[in-house]
Amino acid sequence: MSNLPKLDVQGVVEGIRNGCFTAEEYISSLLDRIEKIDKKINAFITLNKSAINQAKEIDKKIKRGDPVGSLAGIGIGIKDNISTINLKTTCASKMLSEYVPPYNATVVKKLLDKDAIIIGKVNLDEFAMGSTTEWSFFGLTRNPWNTGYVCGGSSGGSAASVAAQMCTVSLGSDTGGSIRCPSSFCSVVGLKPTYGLVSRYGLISYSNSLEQIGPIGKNVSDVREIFSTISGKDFNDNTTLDNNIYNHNAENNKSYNNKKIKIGLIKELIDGADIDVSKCIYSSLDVFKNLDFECEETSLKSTEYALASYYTIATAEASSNLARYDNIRYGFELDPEEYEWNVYFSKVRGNFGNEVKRRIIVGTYVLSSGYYGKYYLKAQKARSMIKTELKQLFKKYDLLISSTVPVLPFKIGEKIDDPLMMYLIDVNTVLANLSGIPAVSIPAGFKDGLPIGIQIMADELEEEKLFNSSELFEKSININSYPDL
Amino acid sequence: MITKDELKHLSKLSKIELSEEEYETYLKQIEKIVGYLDKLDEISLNEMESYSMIKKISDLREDKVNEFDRDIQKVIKNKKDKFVRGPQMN
Amino acid sequence: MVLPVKIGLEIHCQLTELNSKLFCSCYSNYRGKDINENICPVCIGLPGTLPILNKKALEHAIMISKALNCKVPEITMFSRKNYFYPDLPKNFQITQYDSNETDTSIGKNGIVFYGNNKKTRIRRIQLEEDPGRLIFEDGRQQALIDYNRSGVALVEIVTEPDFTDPKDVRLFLNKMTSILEHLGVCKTDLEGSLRCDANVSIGDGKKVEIKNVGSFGDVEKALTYEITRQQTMNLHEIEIKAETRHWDDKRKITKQSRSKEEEEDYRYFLEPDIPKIMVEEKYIASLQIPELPDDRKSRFINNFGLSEHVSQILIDNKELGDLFESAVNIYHSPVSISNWIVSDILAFADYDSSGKKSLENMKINANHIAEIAKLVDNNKINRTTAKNIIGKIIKTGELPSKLINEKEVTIITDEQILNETINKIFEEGKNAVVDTKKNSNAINFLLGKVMMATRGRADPKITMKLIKQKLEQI
Repeated sequence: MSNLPKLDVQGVVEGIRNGCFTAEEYISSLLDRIEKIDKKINAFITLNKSAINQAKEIDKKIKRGDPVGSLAGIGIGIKDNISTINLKTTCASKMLSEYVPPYNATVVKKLLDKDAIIIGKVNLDEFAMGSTTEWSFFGLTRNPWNTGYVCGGSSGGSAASVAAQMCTVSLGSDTGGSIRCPSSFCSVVGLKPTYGLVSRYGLISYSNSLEQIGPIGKNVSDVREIFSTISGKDFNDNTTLDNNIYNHNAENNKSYNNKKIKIGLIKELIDGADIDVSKCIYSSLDVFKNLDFECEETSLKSTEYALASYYTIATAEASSNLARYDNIRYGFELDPEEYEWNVYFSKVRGNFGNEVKRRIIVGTYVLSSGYYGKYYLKAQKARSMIKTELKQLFKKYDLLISSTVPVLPFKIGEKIDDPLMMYLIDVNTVLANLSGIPAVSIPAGFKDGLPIGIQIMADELEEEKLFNSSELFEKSININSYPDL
Repeated sequence: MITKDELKHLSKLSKIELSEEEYETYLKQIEKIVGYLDKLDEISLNEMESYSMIKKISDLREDKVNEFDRDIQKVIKNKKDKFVRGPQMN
Repeated sequence: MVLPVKIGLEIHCQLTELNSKLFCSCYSNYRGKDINENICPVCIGLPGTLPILNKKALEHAIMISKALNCKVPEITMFSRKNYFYPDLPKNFQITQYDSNETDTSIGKNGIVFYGNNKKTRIRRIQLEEDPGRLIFEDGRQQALIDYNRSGVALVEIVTEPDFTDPKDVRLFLNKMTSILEHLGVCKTDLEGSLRCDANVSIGDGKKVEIKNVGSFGDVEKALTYEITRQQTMNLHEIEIKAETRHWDDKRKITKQSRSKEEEEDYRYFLEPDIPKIMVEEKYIASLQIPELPDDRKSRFINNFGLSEHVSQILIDNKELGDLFESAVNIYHSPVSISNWIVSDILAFADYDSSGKKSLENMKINANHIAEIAKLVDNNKINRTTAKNIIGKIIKTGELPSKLINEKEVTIITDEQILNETINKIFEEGKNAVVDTKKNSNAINFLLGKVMMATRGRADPKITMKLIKQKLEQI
């Protein structure tokens, strides 16, 4: 029974279907583990009190011989910026500490339709702004591999809960690396899909043109499974792509089997990484070479503007998206009656955390009269340059790789006082958000017990290439260890 | 260079109240951040490729009514005779 | 010295004929709905919601653009206007104006002809969402908010500052109302469906914006007041500040709201949640644009032989034009029908909230009018009778034929019956009979007496003939 939490999606679904254990037993094992170890990690903000009952319902259906969904019985951790009906959705912020959505995000609905069970809502940097999950109103989340170290962010709870086997898989969101960074720091697999493949309806917006919801799992197969469940055109989100666009491409991808896959290592990103990290990446390249991939170094010159472009666009959009938090319709208890409206708004919004306030102010600045051309417009131009340069590279290479993050996981509190230092963590990951291409982080090794992840990027709509090559790499490198909890 | 007055203006524009302490800390931090963003000055604003998504009119939503069928009233915490209670307006 | 005046307008027209709101599927018609019952997660700005554009709203906006002779761009897009206010759920408004982008509208560079050979250029047309409504409790300052209206589709029409006279503005607004009615995109008599803000400056002076003008009728008053205010200030060499003023309807003055020095920085940028939209030529061509007022007027003049004056009345108020055409379809007598409508029926009509005459609550319809016209043309009843009946029909909706039978109002043409009455009148009015020798008007007096005695039913021509015959006999 103590091995149940170690199972992946296939293991759980088949185990339940074949009667090896019940859904109730499985979900209980997760909940027991949460009770035992989450106090050391703090991955969960809210647990789903109905999880056991939902598991029992599935068991009843199975017993009756009724059909159940293809994800029946798996336990999902959902990043707390994704709306779940009747389950508090706080964005790890005081501003939404009491907010219970009256609707489900589309991705949640899709998972529930397949009989997946929500274990609970997991921790994040407030409003998804951060790279270490240290900016949460509900306390920071610790790295399961070494609890003195950060777990990455902003989807820290999502990655840590999977790494610590407190749920089968989880959902995170990725605006500048927020799925991939914690996946790398926690040694799990995380995918940021092509922009437009997964509906954002229900995702509480930080930066709408950059963010996507994506899966985090123990292995590539799990991530692939969840991705195929949650992706698809949604009439509630006008920025989702037509279904035939993606499927069509998947067909095309199969043809690459006949020729060698060519991988480009982005030299600007390797040069910027810590020595231990780059050593690991070079070793990973050897793994790929042994798998008969062609590997060489390449250059992406516009990388130098990527971070500036990202933080300009993201903060600008954030300053607008977070304007709605005025505590009038939803929020926390503070009677507006005694206050003049300007005073009330300013006072309640002072309750955002420091990082959120900083980003809103910077975002307001870059959009303000006189500065729009200097910052926002130039950032969009840089974004366009990056996308063009990437498109050129993808004519030559099938995949582009780098380390996911330029540094090893660091000690809690180490970078918290220097926002700019913190932002530099995202330099490798923002490229995919700016250009809309898919990117995955997969475990590549350890240094002194701290995980290192490799990031693989493919052209738009080529998730299949990512999955196939990651899977080969994963099997080859065969990291089979678990954090000691 | 961001001055304290500019920061005050931004605080007003974004309706976020800052304490004296916050003014001091943020000023330094934001200056640094914006200083980094100044990197974008090197970029010229000539022709750029537009990668925006473009939709056809036929892909848009039909003009049909669909009443929201879930309980939305309980989300709104602050009511008076069915109105949402707001602050004082002058 | 009186300085030349420049006036520009910003008209907000609700697209009342849509079923749903601009970005969600709540009812577009919020009037009469219980407070905060016509809402959903999207229009109250709940976290995680996204705007989903209404196809028909775009269609109606394009129709307005074409009707105002604007150029419709090949690609149209939306933007965010960022500002805080308690009636704005997201604290930004999704609109189509972007101070940074070259072309984000749904129409620009148009022109409208109105009045006597006057014209005004249209700068731009854009779609945007209406905010919710702030209500104040009995003298209290605390706002109460109703979001039923939040998200309703608006089209904003911005003119160039081509006006120089408030009277012209009034004429223009009448024309605009007529165009919108004929397009079928706005029921202009619905409360709040059509609003207008104005910008006024004199000489090279700063622009003053006037907001909160309740009806189109008040626009002329507000402008007249404001121009006087500015001209007076100029005479006394007081500087006119650029500012926003609002119209105080009770005191009939404009009052300062807030100065432009504190003008909001709206930080416009393109709306990331709504893709750009391609507006193809063939799509525009496929739109069925209803007959516009000017075309309808020409048709009335050319096909129906109506006068310019009467046609103008029938298109200034679409209700009247529709009534006219329906009646003519039943009984083809356009000139007389148009006169019945314009001279007689309209006299009974009240003014509605927008200052226009309205046939609301009048029970008269095309069938009634067609019958009356027919009865008069066939000499079954005379004009006086017809006028009396119209009054009754408006109240009761009864058919003319029924009323006639009830009231015995048919014209008496029978000479024998008429002679009986004439003889009676001659006996009673011997003096008048004598007077006819000296005074020709006395004959009319006798005619009048016969008409009174027959309660208007005597056929005047025949009666006159018989009176003259009798007089000759004397």
